Amino acid sequence: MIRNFFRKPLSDRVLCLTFLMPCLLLLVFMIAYPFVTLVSNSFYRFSALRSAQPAEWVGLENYVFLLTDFELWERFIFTGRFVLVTVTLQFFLGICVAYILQRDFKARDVIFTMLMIPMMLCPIAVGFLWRYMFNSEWGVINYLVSLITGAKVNWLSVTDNALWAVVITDTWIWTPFVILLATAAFRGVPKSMYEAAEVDGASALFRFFNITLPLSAPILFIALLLRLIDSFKQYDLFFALTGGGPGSSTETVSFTLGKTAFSYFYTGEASALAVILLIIIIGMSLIFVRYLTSLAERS
Amino acid sequence: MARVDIKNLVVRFGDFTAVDDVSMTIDDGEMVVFLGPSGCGKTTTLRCVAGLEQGTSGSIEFDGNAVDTLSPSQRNIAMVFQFVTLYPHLKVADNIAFPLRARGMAKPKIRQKLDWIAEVFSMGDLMKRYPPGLPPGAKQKVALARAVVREPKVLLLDEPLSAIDERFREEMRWELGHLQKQLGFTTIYVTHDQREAMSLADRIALMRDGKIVQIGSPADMYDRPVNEFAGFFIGSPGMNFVDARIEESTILLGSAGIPISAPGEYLAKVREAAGPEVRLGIRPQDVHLEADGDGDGLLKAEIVNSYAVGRERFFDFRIDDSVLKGMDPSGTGLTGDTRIRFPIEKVHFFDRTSGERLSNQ
Repeated sequence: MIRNFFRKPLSDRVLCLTFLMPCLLLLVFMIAYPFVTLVSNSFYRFSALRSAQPAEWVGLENYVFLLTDFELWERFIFTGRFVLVTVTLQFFLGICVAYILQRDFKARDVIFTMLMIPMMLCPIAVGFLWRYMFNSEWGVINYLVSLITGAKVNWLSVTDNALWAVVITDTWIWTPFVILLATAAFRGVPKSMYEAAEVDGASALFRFFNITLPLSAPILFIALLLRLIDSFKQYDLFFALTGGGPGSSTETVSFTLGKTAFSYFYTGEASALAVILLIIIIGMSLIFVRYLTSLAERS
Repeated sequence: MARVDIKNLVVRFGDFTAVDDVSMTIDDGEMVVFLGPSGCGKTTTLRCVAGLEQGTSGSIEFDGNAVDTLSPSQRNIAMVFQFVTLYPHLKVADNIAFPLRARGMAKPKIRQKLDWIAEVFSMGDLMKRYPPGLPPGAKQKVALARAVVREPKVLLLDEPLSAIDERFREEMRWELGHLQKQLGFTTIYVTHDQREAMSLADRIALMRDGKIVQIGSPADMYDRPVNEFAGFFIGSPGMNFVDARIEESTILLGSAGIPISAPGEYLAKVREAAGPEVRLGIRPQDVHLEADGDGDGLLKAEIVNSYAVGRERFFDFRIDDSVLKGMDPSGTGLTGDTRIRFPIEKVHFFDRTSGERLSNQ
């Protein structure tokens, strides 16, 4: 029988499946299974802490509860503010620096490499470091601030200041990412375009806004999408710097999600919140994918 | 529009001298073609006029004013590049409007200009499309429209037709020449294609190794090449060359001394001007098959090959080791030993070693 099995030629179908199997299995176990479990959990009242207790089917109750929760809406608004400020700042700084780095000067490559360092550090470690630097009594930042203004800022225990403290730290870590992608994008613009524009009488600023930026747009948009999603999910910096406080006023949505899931162990509710976040992130991605497709169609 | 003076321009890249003491004046409204093989310095010269390249020494003047310190955008020149450099993210209309916007022209004025250019170039239907979807010919047309729309002082064209299909090149060439005359721009046109040069230029500047070999009208260049290089580069197929010795009433071709009889009076003049040992050049178009001809200027040779290019029939014959070409207008397609008409008055005489033109015949 075994001899027969080996002698019989494999059909294309079987062959295909055999080759695909490892990848499919990986997908099923790493993505499909957790995803299906997540979605199904979101319809139950269920706690992972008491997995022996049978889960109770509650339908959309978790969603209704979350979406009518004023507290949670505040978290969304806070997260939105954070995302807007930090991403804007990172892009402004990143594009400016990348523009300067376009020029050929000595030590440019060394400076470029050094600029990349923050991105390679562990965010939670960076968070704790900056927490010390932001310490209102003996932190180096307040020392510098007091040199200029004479007064000390209460960085981490006032909600708005804490937001800025995290924004500054996040910007410090992630501006290099924007610099990196913007530099790549700028270098991708053919030199001949600049020559043509120069001959056409365009000033350096006009060239930047009318040639460099539009031609770099696809890469910059991908960078933007990644930064938006990433900062939308920001968790570790808030954890390290403010712990979500004062009170819970600097908790982002993911922070709340983490607390719901692993401090309170409301697994069902947390699952529902995770699904909501997922929908938002997929929604953002779709907008960008559509934009990129329209770009591709034009050419 | 302006007169352009190139004065003793030298461009060095490291040890390499790309442009070697080039001087020339391009008159207001004139179209001058810089012609030459690749690497002869023609494009570098053009880029110096544009300001995209800085000369090592020498200067460029527009209407008598030196522009060497001005950037390309300050020189008020326009340029069409060899490879299409349309802005891919802008519609054709916005591409053409780009140089106008760059100079801060008011919107209604820009509209007006666009309407004008769309009519001149008859391309109203292209205006709303994006460049990447256009055929190469249309792209260069847009590039040309963008170049002339702001009526620059000087129009610079760097092999603008070389990226276009052979079929449309002819048509574009005609259109380009027509537009240049109609709009009257001072134009410098760079190409390695002698046919383009011959059909477009008011004057041609033939270049080699960074130097200008000859400047003249297309007819001048064709009829009176200053050296062998000029004779070979202009005209297609290139000029035939063969060593010759001038005797009293014959010319002996090659080492075998194939004789051609010629009027002694004429030969005496040539001999006086050029000496007996010369290199002789003649255009294939002037050499004909004439199996039953007689009189002066006949040559006996063996035809080794006979072929047609379109409606024109050419033949190859051999003298020593070199293959010479001739034209066979009646299309006999003869091969083998025959007589060939080799009109002495159409022959150019060059120095054997230097290749310079010898006589003023």
